[in-house]
Amino acid sequence: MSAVLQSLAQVAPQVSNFVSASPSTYPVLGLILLFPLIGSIINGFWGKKIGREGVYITGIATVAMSFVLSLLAYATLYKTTHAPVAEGAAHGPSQLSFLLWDWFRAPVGAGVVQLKIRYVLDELSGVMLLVVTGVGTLIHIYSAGYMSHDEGYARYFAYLNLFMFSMLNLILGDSLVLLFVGWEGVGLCSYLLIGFWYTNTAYANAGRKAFIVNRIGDVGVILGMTILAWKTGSFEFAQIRETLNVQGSTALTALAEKPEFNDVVAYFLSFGRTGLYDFWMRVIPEFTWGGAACFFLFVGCTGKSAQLPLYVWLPDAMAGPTPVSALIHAATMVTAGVYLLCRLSFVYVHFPSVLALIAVTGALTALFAASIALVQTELKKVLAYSTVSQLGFMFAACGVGAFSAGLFHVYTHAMFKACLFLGAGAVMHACRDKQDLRELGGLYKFIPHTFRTFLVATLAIIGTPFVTAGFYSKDELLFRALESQNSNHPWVGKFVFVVLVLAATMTAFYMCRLLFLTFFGKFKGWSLSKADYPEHVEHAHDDHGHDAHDDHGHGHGNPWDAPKENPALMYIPLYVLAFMSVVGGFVGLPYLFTHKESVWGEWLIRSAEHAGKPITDWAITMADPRVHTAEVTAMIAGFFAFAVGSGVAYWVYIKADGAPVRALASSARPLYQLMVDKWRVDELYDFVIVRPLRFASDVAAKFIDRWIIDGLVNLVGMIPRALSAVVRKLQTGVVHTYAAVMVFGLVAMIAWVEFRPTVSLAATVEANNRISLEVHGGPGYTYQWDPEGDGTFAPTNDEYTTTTRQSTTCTPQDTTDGRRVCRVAVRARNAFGYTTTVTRFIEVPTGDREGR
Amino acid sequence: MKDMLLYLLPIVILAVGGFSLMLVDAFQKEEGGLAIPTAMLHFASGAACLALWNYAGSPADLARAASAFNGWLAFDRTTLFLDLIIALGGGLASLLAGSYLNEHKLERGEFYTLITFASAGCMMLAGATDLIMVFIGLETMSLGVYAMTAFRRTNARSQEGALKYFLLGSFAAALLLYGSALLYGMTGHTDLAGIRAALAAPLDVPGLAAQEGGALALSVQQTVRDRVVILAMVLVIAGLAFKIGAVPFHMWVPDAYEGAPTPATAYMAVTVKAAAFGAMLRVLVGVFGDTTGAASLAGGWPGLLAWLAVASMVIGNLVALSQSSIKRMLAYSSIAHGGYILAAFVVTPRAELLPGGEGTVGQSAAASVLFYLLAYAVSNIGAFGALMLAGSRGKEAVSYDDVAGLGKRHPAVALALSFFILSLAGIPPMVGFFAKYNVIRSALEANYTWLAIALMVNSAIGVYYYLRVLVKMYMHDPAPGATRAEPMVSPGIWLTLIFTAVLVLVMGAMPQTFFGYALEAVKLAVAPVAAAATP
Repeated sequence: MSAVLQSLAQVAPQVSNFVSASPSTYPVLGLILLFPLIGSIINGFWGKKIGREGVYITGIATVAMSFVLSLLAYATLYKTTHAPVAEGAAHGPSQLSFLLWDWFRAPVGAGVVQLKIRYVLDELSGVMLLVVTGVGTLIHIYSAGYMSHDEGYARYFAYLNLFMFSMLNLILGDSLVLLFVGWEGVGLCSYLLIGFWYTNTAYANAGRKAFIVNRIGDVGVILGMTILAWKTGSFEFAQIRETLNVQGSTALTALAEKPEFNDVVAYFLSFGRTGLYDFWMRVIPEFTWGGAACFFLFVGCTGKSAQLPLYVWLPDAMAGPTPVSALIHAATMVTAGVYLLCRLSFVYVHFPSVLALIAVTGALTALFAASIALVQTELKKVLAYSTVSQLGFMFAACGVGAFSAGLFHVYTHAMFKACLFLGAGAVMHACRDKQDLRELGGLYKFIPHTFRTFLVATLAIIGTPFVTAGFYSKDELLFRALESQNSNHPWVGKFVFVVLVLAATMTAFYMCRLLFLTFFGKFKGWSLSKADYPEHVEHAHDDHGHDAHDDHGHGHGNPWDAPKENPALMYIPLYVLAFMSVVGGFVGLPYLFTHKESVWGEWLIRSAEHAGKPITDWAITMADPRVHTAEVTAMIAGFFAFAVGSGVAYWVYIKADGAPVRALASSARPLYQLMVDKWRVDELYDFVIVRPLRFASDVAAKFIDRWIIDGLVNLVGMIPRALSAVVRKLQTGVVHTYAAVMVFGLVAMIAWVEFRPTVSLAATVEANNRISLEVHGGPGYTYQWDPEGDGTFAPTNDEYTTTTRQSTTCTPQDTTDGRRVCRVAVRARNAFGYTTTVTRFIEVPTGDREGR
Repeated sequence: MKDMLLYLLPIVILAVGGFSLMLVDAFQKEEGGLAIPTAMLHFASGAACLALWNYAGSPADLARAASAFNGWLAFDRTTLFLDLIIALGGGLASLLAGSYLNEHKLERGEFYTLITFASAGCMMLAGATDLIMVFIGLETMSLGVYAMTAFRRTNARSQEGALKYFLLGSFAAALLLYGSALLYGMTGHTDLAGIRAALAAPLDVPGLAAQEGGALALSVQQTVRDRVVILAMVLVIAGLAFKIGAVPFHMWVPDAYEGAPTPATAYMAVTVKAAAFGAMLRVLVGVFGDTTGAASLAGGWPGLLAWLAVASMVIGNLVALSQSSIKRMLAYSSIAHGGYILAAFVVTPRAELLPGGEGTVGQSAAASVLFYLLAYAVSNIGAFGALMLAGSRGKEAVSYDDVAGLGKRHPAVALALSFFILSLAGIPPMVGFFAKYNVIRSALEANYTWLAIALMVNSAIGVYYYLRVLVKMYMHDPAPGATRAEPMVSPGIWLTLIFTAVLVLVMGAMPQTFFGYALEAVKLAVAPVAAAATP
């Protein structure tokens, strides 16, 4: 891998010199984003014109170009960061960036922040970039085969390209705002693609569900983002990182401040009892601004990355076309939450309690989703819950502070899970859209390419030791979890470790079950014998499949034809992904084997280095002898999970042909049913959230809308109606009315300027409590001054001067909140003889008296 | 002297072009075919503006440009920016008209002559630095627009709207003229700089002070002058507020907008507003704005305008809520948009410096006004254009029901219309959002918090009726038996829609760049249009 990179790095600069002046202006990043956007526009607007082939070529070529350029950019980055430097000199810039334009200025905190459209490639975004464009390219190729019978192919490719564009925005954006733009963009594309077959109500509803659940998360992101920017004074990652890496910086202090509502919340939670109050304040020691920001951002991540409690949309999202599930709902978009945590790791390390929450949430999600996956009977449902579970692994890794391990799992997971989903799609494509495990079986004979790749990917996800990528990434995060020390909650690491091992065992079981039921045993999909179809109806195959789905995926032969292998367009991506599921892991070989930092770890070390609050709380020192023990323990545990899970599955489904499970299911009926019903979480949410909301909205519609809004609207509508009634009676009168209103307005305006003298008083504070005052009225304004603020105006009586400037030395008064203010006043008379008095309290510097 | 012609180029192109159009129309055998030439004239005028923008950049250039017309017209960047909006609005409106008038059997050549002369008048008004020039510009503009409103001769609504507009417009023009006359009487000047200088100095009648009781007489005269000047200011405000359609001078707006053929409506809403706001900037800030101080309330007009702004927003929005015709809704909402722009206008006399080299609060506010006018122009013309496409031959789509199901029948039209509606509603990332954002920022910078809040609340009300269009388009089916719109074959309208849609998106994507141009336009103005920082 690194050899390849190095050789690429040799070539890259020569090529990139044509387009790049310096690492701070690297336009290739812009091109990487531009290509999918162009593809989306072409396919969206002229998709029907350029025809099927044209759409495929446009869709694939643009993303492939993006991938090639990503490789180039990555190699350039590698070259830049590994450029030899003189002894003791600073490293070269570790990022490439490209400023498109200045977006707009936003007031943040006390200052004004320039928001930019700027893209940055660093180690972290580089990894994500390769995964997204690489897997994206493969899935675009696969889609050309998969959608070959669908009418909506142009729309499909337009959405998919748009998704790539949004995802690249999310990854490469250098600020929270740009990330959020991408975050919303991928959410929109996900919604559009889940509901791709929108004529099917259930599918459209699945899309809607995903949209709504994600909105809940988005509120979290907006809140977190706002707090973070408000307290650190910047939206840009690099700047936030810089301010936080300085020990005792103002931003760090600001983040560590406890918000005042902290007390209020704790007070309410404790029902006013001091004992309980102290308890809450101890339990939530990081109820600070920074902790709140991290927490809210994490809420956003639970939405996008399908963690407890917001995971419910992801299994339903499988209503979309299968390549979409592979790309968006397994490999890329759903990992955005993990990416966000890694991106902001320098913030999160300062808040161990939030990290503990993340770790526990992740671990529990892993276990919970795995338990549901055990009993699901639909191919894609199992994979969906498996994805939720694996995302839980990644979050657990981030939660124990092992951000690079979490990202490693993102990368290996992208490979094998994309392979599995595409394999599932291939199975459905070959089997007339059947995906019920009870109706499949014995497919290895019919679709050998799919079988081989599916097998390899399954071996990877269950962590087959030493040869698969899944083993190395899972081992890495188990080990880090075991080794981690959360300074607020020391038990978290061990807890996460145990739960994850359990979840991994379940993973091995359900994935083997899936493999065995799909590819082994006897084919149960339909009768393969010609004798069973006596009538030889030519169009017999028209009546199966989904109603909205029906124009794709069926063989064009006879009803008794066996499942056929898919075209090469579809299985070649599978081979690439399967290959990567094996060799992809070797970039992260454990320390135990190589006795040095892995390529992966070394690459990301800069992203994981955090000054300020030292990362050493979390990371390990390799020399520590305990490391070996921990690593060996983790490896044994991983092996145990693999062996037990797959062994039991083998025994149950191959040896005993499912009998033990049937027995177990009938003896523990309620529990089994509960698991089949996915722990009834959807029903719970329906009862607790959806119904009360619906009730409330009914009430709102009935009362508020009908009586208040409609009433208001009707009332307002009555004015023109009343007017028009007048119009009808007095045909010529209306212009008079209009003119009358104008005259009325004019009179009111004149009255306003006559009776309401308005002046403004500006003050400039100089040294030694000296204040310069300037009053502004207008033509004909005259003034009386009281610069000392003692209530005596000069000149007195009816005398007014035209002096508009005064300066005075004031005696400041102390206010209750420790400020010092001077009182000044001016009385103004306008040309019509009406007066007004303006009094202002001007704050003067407290000086050294207060010592602030 | 050669410069003089050069600076006049945007107006000259239109004026000469207008006469040519008249001749062509008189001598050609059959009607029609004038839309494209008219649009080209406007775009040529716009191109001349762009060229001049770069040609006359330095302060020396600007001073020369100012002296070239003896204080009658200022061809500085503020004028050019406004002229560009006018040229854009006029050009796009003629493109719309080319298809619309044909389709609705209204194609007569005089429309194009009228629109060209009206644009020339708008440009004069936008650049006027003399009260006489203001009046000439205003009348040139108005006469064209009155006639365009009455263009649907057989339609009673059109006649009614035009007559009301004309009568009330004459009334407003009389107010403006009366105010101008009073100002001239009190100061002896009609040029804005002269009035400003005269007002800045105390009244002095030669020889009077030396006479017996002269001091008292002088002070009485001074008082009279101050009072009359303030009254004159209010009269001038009333006259210009009428053209903007600010409450309470708004009554003509819905009638005229609804009665006029749709291209004329789009034209009025955009260019007349731009020109009138330009004149207001010059007159109010230039004469009464206390532009050198640190902060100013300038004889009370900002406070007055703040009230007009709030009244316009509230009444415009509330009445727009209850409309069943989209065209009428857009008319009322244009009153509300006028209110939003006035809210930024209120801040223009403030001279506090902003951080980051953005000039003063006042300059930023004036730039917000210009930016808003541009954003409103592209969004509004686009919206009217899309509305035309949603209608069919001889029957306009005017009600909400007419657009029901448009998303399915004509997805491209619906998509374009939703861009413009979202922009008008002020939803990011469309340009309308940034236009409102700038105004709110300006109001907050000058501590007009209540005004900012009023704007936000009103904007939220606006979202309600704007989104109703989208809901109708995408979520409702047309009532059974309702006439289906057959979009006319009209490259002109399509061109307009694409052009404006791209602008709405591009300006939304890079608002700061365009705001930067607006700020430059404000900073490089010969006659003050915003408070500059005290040196």
